[in-house]
Amino acid sequence: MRVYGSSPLYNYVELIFRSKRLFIAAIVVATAITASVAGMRAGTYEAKALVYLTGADNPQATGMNEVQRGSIQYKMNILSICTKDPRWFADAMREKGLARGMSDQKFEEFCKKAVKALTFASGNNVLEITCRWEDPRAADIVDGFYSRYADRVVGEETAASSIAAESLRNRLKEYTEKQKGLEDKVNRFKQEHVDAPLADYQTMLAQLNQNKQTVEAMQVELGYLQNVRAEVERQLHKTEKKILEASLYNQPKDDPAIERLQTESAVVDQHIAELRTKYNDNNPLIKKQLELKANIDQEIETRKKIAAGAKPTGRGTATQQKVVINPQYQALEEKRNELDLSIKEYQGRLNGAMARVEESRTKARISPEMVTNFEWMTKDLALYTGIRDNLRASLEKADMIEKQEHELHMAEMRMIVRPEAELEMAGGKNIIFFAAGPLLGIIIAFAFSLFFETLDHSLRTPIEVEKYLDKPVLAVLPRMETPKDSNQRRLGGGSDKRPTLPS
Amino acid sequence: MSDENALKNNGPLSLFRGGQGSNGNGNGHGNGNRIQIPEEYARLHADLERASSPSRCFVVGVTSAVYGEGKTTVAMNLAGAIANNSTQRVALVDCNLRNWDLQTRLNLPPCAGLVDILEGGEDDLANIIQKTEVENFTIVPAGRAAANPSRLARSPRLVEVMNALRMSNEFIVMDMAPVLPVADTRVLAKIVDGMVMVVRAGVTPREIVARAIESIGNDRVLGVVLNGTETAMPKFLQRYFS
Repeated sequence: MRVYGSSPLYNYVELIFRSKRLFIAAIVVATAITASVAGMRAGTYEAKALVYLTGADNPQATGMNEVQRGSIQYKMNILSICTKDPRWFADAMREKGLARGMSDQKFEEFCKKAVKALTFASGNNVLEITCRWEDPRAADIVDGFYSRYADRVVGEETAASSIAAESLRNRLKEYTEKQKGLEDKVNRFKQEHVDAPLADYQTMLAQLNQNKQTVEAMQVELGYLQNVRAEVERQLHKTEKKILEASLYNQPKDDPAIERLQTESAVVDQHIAELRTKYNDNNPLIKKQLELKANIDQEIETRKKIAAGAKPTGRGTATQQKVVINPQYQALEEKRNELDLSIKEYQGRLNGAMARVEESRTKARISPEMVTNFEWMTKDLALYTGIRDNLRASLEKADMIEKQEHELHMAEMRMIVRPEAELEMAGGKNIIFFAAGPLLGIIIAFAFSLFFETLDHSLRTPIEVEKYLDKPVLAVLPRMETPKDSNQRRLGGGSDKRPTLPS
Repeated sequence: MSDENALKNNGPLSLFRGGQGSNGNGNGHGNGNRIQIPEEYARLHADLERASSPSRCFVVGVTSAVYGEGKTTVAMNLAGAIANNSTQRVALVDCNLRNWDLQTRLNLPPCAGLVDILEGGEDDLANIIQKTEVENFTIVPAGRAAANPSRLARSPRLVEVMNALRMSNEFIVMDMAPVLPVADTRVLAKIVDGMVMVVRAGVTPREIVARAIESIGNDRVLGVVLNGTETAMPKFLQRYFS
């Protein structure tokens, strides 16, 4: 710093006046710049939101505990992560509907600009979110950002309960599917065995024996019928098919049919005796045989009566008799046809009975395994149903806990001042800007003056001469001529009159 | 004030109104500081008197580091102040053999000068000595530019001229060429009793001036005349600080 006088202040004041053009220029430029900035900012909108970070549910509480301080720090970390994630920010803006009418590229540029326009300040449990934008969308940007940020904070803070509930949900789904599968299996099994309900082994065995007995009886009966048919066939071979008409009326007293019927009766008796060894008289087979015997005996009596009372009628002579079908042959043939039908029917019934025997045998064989399987299926179904019901109850509880935590955290963090877009630079801020311009200019000019002063190595004061040259100053001659005078002299004009020396 | 009255009241200083450095920077004594400037020259005279001996002639050379510092004006005014403030005989010698500025500044007609004596064109010293209105003030102009100033500066004839001038004067003020651009002054510095370095304030870097002083010999330089100082502070503030 040059020394002009004894007072340091003198030196600085001298410097200022010597660099007055620089000061004026700097003040003018700085004022112009700040005025331009103020003018530019005047056209912008500002939206500000204030958010309680924690304890919003109890605003009267004074002081913060460690948990709340930790919660605030956690939320600020989440804020930092959110602002650095362009995809998250784009989703937030999209949710607010700010992407409407914009192409993807334009929206991407909008998001880049918007994230730079947002500023954050925090202190005393309050977060201030500010956005400066060229139009009133500033408020929407702040609102969109806060909505998604709040959701993220709550989501992060309830992550544990959400994960637990989700896990329970997955397990419930798994066990519900298993239980449904088992239920369908049990129902299918029941459907398959609706006509023949499952019974235990002894029952199956008894059923099998009964079926066997039925088959045996039916085989005996069929054997009997076949024997009777064979006898009828034998009688049929012995009987003439066609006879003279007169012989109809000259019936011998001995009717061969009676003999046949008697033979038949004896066979029936024998059959009844065989059946009685196995069954009692209430058995339908025995009853049927007894009925048949009764019919045969009655027919025998009838024929005997007919044979006893028959007289020759003498209706014609041998020359007037014709050949007719023998009624006995006809009766035997009818009898044979009936027996064929009966045998056929019985055979069918016997086949059915034998099939039932086989079925009963199979059922009796696999019955224990099926019963066991069915029992296990039923037990498993009960077990899975129990697990499913327990999981359902647990899930309900977990959902409730999750919902409660969600509501708790939503209530803890709350926006207390909603953002509204206001045109910036009203009143006081303009004055500050316009006042800061000249001050800034003065500071810059002073700095430049000092800098230029250090670069100037010329000698301006006697003190500098003595300091740098170590020589006494014999005279200090001030500069008095104005540039105007200098120019006039240089050009040869002016009112100066040089004196001439005498020769 | 007319020139004659100025001459009477203020002495030879009034003769040198509007003097300029060779670069046209101007150090004329205008209507402003008529009191301060003569006082400064009187101070300079007093300082030189202290350095001189009353029994012998004192030869002082006025030079500067570079051109345009105002050395010719200072030499002229110094000689005028000495003549005005005392009865001592003073001679102003133009030893700037390359740029005979003194003659031009004084508006002297073309005449023979020191160069003519040194080159042998003129034998009589009295022919080149120019008298002025002031009785004890004479001027020895250069006459013309020298063909070989360095040779003339080393010429023994110059010593004879200086010895002759010493006999007839108490003070000799020599207006010399600048130190750094030419070598003449370093040679002429040996024949003077002391040198005065004129420095233009705010123009010449101190390193240049220091180099000039060193080149002619630190012990030969009596002091520095700071020429063309100025203050940017307004007068009302100057009064406050004074």
